[in-house]
Amino acid sequence: MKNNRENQVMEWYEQYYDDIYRFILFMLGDRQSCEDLVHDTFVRAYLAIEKFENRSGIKTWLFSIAKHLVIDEIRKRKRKRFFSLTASYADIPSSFNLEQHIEDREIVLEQLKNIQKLKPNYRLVITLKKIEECSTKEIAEILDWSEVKVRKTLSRAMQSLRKINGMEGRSENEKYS
Amino acid sequence: MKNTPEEQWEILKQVTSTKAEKFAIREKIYRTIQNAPSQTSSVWTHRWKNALASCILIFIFAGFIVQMVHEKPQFKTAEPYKLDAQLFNWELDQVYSEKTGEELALYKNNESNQVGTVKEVSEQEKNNIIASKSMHINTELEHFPYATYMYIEHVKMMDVALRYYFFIPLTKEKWLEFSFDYPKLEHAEILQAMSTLKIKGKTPYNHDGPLYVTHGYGSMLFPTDLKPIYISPEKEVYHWEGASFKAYQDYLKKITSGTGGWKEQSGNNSSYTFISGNENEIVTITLKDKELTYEFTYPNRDDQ
Repeated sequence: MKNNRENQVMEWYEQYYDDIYRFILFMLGDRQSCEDLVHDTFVRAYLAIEKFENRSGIKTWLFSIAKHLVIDEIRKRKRKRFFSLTASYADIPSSFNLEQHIEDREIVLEQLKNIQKLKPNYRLVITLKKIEECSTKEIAEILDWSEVKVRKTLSRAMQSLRKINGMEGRSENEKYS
Repeated sequence: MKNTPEEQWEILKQVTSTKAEKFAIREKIYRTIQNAPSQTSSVWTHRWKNALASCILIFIFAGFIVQMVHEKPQFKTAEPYKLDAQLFNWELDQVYSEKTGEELALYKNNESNQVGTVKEVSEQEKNNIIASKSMHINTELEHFPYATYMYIEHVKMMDVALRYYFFIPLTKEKWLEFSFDYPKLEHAEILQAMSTLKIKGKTPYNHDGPLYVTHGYGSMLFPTDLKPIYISPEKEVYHWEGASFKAYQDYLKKITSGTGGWKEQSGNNSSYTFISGNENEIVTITLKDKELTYEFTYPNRDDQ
């Protein structure tokens, strides 16, 4: 019984690790916390596996666990007042082929930094929609929102991101549609 | 610089971690899951505990009522334990305590950096500490001198990677909390301290046989009476105080019967090689006189 659950969760890990890792990275902006929360996401999935009722897909369920963890982490950081926007952006994952893609690296670092400046709700919808390519319905399930709220929040989030890009002086032309 | 929005989102979609990171997190999850209690049994255990706790409470209240009816009130005697440097001792000679306010600070030799803390906490405080930290290991250490509950916190500090917490019941209301910082102290040192702890006025349990523990998140068992001589990621050398041919053979048997599904791959009289259940870790253990050497390799890791 326990072994079945273990195998199941480790299988999900192989399948969805990259998605969960990227989601948490873009939500928190630092790699160390990312590692911890990826761990916590799959451990919680293991502990709650009997509550998973197949009403949503596995990926959606894992994202919703990860969402709770990142929101908690963001709250903790606010309380502790140690959240520094410049903390560790230089430390992006190294499997990204940096030597061949210096330009790409700059884009990732800049957007990672800019996304961190958004409100947590905006960060959530942008990361899920534009980076994780979730459908509006899936995002609504993950965040427990209505689909209308997802669309409205996404629209406002994109507007905010454009403003931030504009303020950075890097976007004469609009970078994001 | 690429400027089209879709191109830029495509780039962000390519961000992934390294294979080594993925491997390390997988190992950590695997170990946490191995140590997690069975869900089904915990639900039933929880129900039984609730029922049992209710019965005990009724019994206690009944006792109080009988006592109040039959006896005059008496003043409570002071608790016998006083938190100071004389409260406890252990065989980890180079680590000593100094009183600072309401707690004891632990120092190693004459280094100025604190390596740990000892304090008295209530049940509620203990629970708050456990709930508020990022604890990845939660286990009761069997056959230790006192009932000892160990937790390991993943700490993100320059000089601390893990913080070990040990809670020992001192009185009905109070717990003694020991915390130690790794790598300021090695795993072996921390566990040696706790396995040889003697609290003044509290009789320790003496286990008739050797004690073994895992280090940090690992699943390999180590004897508790090791003193580190040399530690690196690939090799660890210890002085093993209790070493003997029989102790070594007993230890090797214990490795394959313990957690982690370790299997013996090869061996002769002094050197043995084991592979972990998930085949991600190979350890060669060699005993020479009282020197115990561990050599680690990770066959499935891409950064080898």
